[in-house]
Amino acid sequence: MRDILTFAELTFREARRSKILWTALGLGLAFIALYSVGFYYIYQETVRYSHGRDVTLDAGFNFVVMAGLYVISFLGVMLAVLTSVGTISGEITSHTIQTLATKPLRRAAILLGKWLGLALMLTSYIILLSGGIILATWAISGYLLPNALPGMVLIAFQALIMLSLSILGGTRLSTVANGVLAFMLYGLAFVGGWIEQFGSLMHNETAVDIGIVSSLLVPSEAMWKMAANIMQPPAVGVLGMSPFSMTVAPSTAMLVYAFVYTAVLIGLAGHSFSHRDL
Amino acid sequence: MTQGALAIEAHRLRKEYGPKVAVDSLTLAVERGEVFGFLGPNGAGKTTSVKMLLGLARPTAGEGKLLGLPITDPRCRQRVGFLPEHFRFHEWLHADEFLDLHGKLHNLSKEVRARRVPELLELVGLTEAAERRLGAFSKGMLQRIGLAQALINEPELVFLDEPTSGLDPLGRRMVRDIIRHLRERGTTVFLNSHLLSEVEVTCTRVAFVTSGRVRHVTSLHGHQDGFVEVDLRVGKIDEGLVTGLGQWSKQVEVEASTNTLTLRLSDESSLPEIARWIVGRGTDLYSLSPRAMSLEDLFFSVVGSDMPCEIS
Repeated sequence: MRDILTFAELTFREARRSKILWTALGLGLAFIALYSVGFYYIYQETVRYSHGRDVTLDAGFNFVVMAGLYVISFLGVMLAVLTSVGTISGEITSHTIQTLATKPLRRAAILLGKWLGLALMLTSYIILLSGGIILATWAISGYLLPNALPGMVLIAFQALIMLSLSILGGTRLSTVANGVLAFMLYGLAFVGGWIEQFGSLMHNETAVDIGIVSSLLVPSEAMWKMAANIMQPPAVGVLGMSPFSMTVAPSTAMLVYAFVYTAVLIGLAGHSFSHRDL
Repeated sequence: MTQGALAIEAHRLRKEYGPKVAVDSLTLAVERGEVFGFLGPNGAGKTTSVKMLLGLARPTAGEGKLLGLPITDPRCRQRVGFLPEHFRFHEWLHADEFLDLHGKLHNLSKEVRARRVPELLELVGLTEAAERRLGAFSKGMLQRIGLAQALINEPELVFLDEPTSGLDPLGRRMVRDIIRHLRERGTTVFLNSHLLSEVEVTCTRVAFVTSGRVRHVTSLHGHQDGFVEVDLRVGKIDEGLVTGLGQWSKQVEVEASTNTLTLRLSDESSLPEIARWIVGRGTDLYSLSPRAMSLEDLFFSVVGSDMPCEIS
């Protein structure tokens, strides 16, 4: 456990030294500021033409926050892959791993430590960004997104799924190959998710099945769908008013599956890394 | 750690990479306190052997122990230090942080680390550079800090893979002094090198390796009488003489024109016996002159004849 924490701390220190941390934080704050300014003007315009608070007004605000969260969810996935894609393979090709792996520790500790360090940073970042825009919306308009906390956790979990996938790939693949694989799998889940939505709208079972299979292969997009589903007022979903409305929402079974999936990925990554030659 | 156990034991360690055999069958026993040289041409499997012993590469077959514990158990590396051949470290770490990190990974307490880090920086002459980023270090400085890293846990066994390759003469002397210092402390040093002159001055025993097999192990204690070539001039050379001398020397070179024979012996102790045997069988013996072989001569005599074609 101590070794895991040492590597988690090392990963954090590396992010800080390589200026990734500060750059990401600066840009994240800029993102929240830009969103707030934009939302402020949207709010000013809307209230001018409306007669008091009603469901349609809230649905409009909901749409704007969901658009912001959609961007954050995408950024989260990108950051998860980009920060982790070379974290193992890079250490192997550069030989920095040799003095680390010959210490009296299990190799899995190196991998788990890196995972933990990156996971904590990603989760904090996603919560900071999405919390920032949800709070900004609330401060400006008084509209509070329903189920904000579990929704944010699901968005963060989506990034952690991709993180685990790319860490596993990195134990065997070169950095570039691993990056290509991770993004292709994310793309697959993404497209599969949309096919499922359209299939459900058009009552095409094959399309729905394709979506389900793709969610089983990579359950990241399904987490976003769950998040989107719980963070929208029921009326929006039923009326199909927004592109984030879910005609079919993943079930709790999917969430359990995603947990098991991630745990298996991490376990496989530990095994694969422990059994390879360095 | 098991007290009194050998520092390194390897029994038929074998490593295949697909169809390629990197190490055929490594059997080795290194006593505590030895400075053991591991010599061989490029591609002989030296680095792969070290990697197997340190758990970086999984042996295809065979087993090994470090300080009495099996190499599959990470705890066997608790009192082991290692400077790899391709030393590269996290460039964004400062020299002192780097040593502190490696101390932490050896489970050294904060107090011990606070004492060891400055000590080692001084030992390798990098006290001034303590707070500089490793990215700004020259190759020689990296090798020094790498060496310091290998000693952070006051190891009982240190693996040095080509420790002087990036160093200038001053740096080499520093490494030699450090090895001498370790030897005085009773630390076992496993030195992987192809710099024969380095090995000759620092090692107590050497193994010659080709194609992943130990071909010859010899002591370098007072190396003059460690292994010798002997020139014999006799009255007449016959078949019986050559085959008879074969019991002392595997190789008997015959120069018929001058009636001279050259033997290669592991030490001088058999010389009187050889002389008695020659005279006893009625052959005239005009001269018997032993001369010490340099490590280089020995290297070529062991390795040269057995080198695979692709390594020339």
